[in-house]
Amino acid sequence: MSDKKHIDRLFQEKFKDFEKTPDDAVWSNIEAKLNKNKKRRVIPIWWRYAGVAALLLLLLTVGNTFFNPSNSDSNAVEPINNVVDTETKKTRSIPENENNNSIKGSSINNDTPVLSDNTLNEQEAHESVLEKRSPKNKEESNFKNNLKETSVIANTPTKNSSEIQKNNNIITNESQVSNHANPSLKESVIANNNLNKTQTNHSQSTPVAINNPAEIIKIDETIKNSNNPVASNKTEDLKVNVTEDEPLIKEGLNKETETIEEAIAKNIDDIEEEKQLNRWNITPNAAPVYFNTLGEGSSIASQFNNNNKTGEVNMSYGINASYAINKKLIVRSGINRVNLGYNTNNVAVFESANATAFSSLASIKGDSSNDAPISSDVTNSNIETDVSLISGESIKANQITPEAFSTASSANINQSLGFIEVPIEFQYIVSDKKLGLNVIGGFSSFFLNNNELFSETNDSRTLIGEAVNVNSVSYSANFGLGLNYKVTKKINLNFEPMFKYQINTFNNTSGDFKPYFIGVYTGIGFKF
Amino acid sequence: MSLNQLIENCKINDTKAQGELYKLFSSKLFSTCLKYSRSYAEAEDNLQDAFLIIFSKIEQYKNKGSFEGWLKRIAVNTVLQRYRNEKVFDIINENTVEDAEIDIEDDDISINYLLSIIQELPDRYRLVFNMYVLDGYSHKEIAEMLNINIGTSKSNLARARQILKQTIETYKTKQSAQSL
Repeated sequence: MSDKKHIDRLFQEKFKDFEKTPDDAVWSNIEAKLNKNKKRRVIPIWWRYAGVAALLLLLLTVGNTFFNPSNSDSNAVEPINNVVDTETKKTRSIPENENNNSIKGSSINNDTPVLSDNTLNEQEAHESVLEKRSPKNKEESNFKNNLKETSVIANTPTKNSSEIQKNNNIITNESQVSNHANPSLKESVIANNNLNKTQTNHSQSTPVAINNPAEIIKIDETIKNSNNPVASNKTEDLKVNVTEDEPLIKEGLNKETETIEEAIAKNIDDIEEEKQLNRWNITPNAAPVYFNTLGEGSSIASQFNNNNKTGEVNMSYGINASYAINKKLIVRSGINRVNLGYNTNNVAVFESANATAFSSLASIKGDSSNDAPISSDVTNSNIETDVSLISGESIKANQITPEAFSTASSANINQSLGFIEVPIEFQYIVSDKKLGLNVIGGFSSFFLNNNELFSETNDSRTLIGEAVNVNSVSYSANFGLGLNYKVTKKINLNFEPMFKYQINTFNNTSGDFKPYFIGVYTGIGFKF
Repeated sequence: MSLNQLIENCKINDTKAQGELYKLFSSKLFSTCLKYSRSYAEAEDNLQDAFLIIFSKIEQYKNKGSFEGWLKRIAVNTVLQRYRNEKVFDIINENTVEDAEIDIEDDDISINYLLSIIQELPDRYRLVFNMYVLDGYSHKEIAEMLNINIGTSKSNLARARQILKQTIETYKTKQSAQSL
């Protein structure tokens, strides 16, 4: 017996110099991957671009098919109509029973998904309804059958209202025509058959399938039975058969007929919903706004009427909510913060005691309440100096020597105004494609919340005071064009150049001062 | 070519240098992988992954500490990473089993046999046993690397020892029975 040792020691000693050469395959794998990695470093540059391009392409194609299904599908409708015609003719010539036999399966297949939709309560209610109706004449059942078809058609994946309409018309027409010659059920069967054809034509393998084969066979039989006897009491026959067989089938049949009405209602809702679904739209937006005047006047003083004025680009931002009244018209409102500003150029700003000599600027209030009429109307007692403003133009006219001015003679007056804007606008939709176009008109109310006048020289900006002739509430007339790009059904990107003509922003402007501003509003809209 | 030169060449993705480096260290690292893995095939996978990581991270090696130690840490971490992804670590925390009698007679047991019984250990027992006994990690380090308690590490080690001992003893009795 050899001496005992701790198990750790045993393993440590044994594994101390343990080495094992791996297969060469391991290295070749590593080498291959290393080379791949090297290559990959070159690839990503175009790979990324390709990815972006592919994504864009995908978005566009998906978006296109998603939003304009009518283009592709309306084409498919035409051949279907033909099929309907030929099929009906064919079936007319074929003996009744055979015809039914050949068609039944498909017709029931089409109906089954409708069955599964129903809740139990509804079933019961429907049963009673049917019981009341059952003794009525064949016309009604016929009508119901037609309804059935339409509903089923409406349930097919192609949810295009126009197409549905077309199909409906065709089928009802067909069945009316054949009514004279054929029993009602055949009508429905034909219609069903047509439907089947449409479906196969669409090559959209509908998720119809067969839910319960046994049930279907039973329904098959009932249909067969009901079809054989004279056409007049078809509904009754149907009813009798149903009751004789099993309550299950009865329910099933009732469900069929009833769900139809429901489905139609639902379908109409659906179609309507599709249009109305996203009536509301919330759009946070932001816009650079450019403020300027159309006329020659000045909002500050008549002496500046002839001065050159330059608009300033400021920002407006806010949020809009819109509500679609109908497909074409949208009313919207919201709240926006908007800053406007413009410069009156070539203004002499100076600090002196004898400013009275020049002009009275009735529209400017000094920065403090202590509005001592030392100079004209412009004071700034905060800094204990009097600021006078003079138009460069009038200086020239008065031929006053420049020595009188202590500061630079070519300054600007910058008027900056801030408003809370509440627009009420109508949007008329010109085009509702993927890239939609609309015309916007309306008006805005502006509530003044910032009002400042600055004198600006090359290197300094001094607060002069505030304009007293700015109305606290004013209005504007708005016109604009809207472009929107529908990213998804719910999200769209908006781009709206707007022109807003301000109506009574200033209560006494001198000259022909017609302020306006232009904003290019961009935003992301969320529909719900 | 010195090892340092080789490392420098590997840093600039010199394929030849990478091959040299592999030749130098593959058997050592493969033994580590074998101990930590469940099977030979898995060990090969781990070795491959480890080398790919080594080559991609070699520029982070700043000539501090032994290069072999650095390589080995990467190999161990590669294996651990694999098991982390497989989530084999959530074994229920066992009570600490005190090592009773874990001495064993040192007969001529082949290393291949020892390796095979290590590989047959449950994943965490194997990892803890390897790290603590064969690679000298402390329970604290193990606990951090495996994201378990120190106590769990200790009890796992004790369980691993017991299993190994039992396995070896049964193996021995079988052998002696055969030789009789």
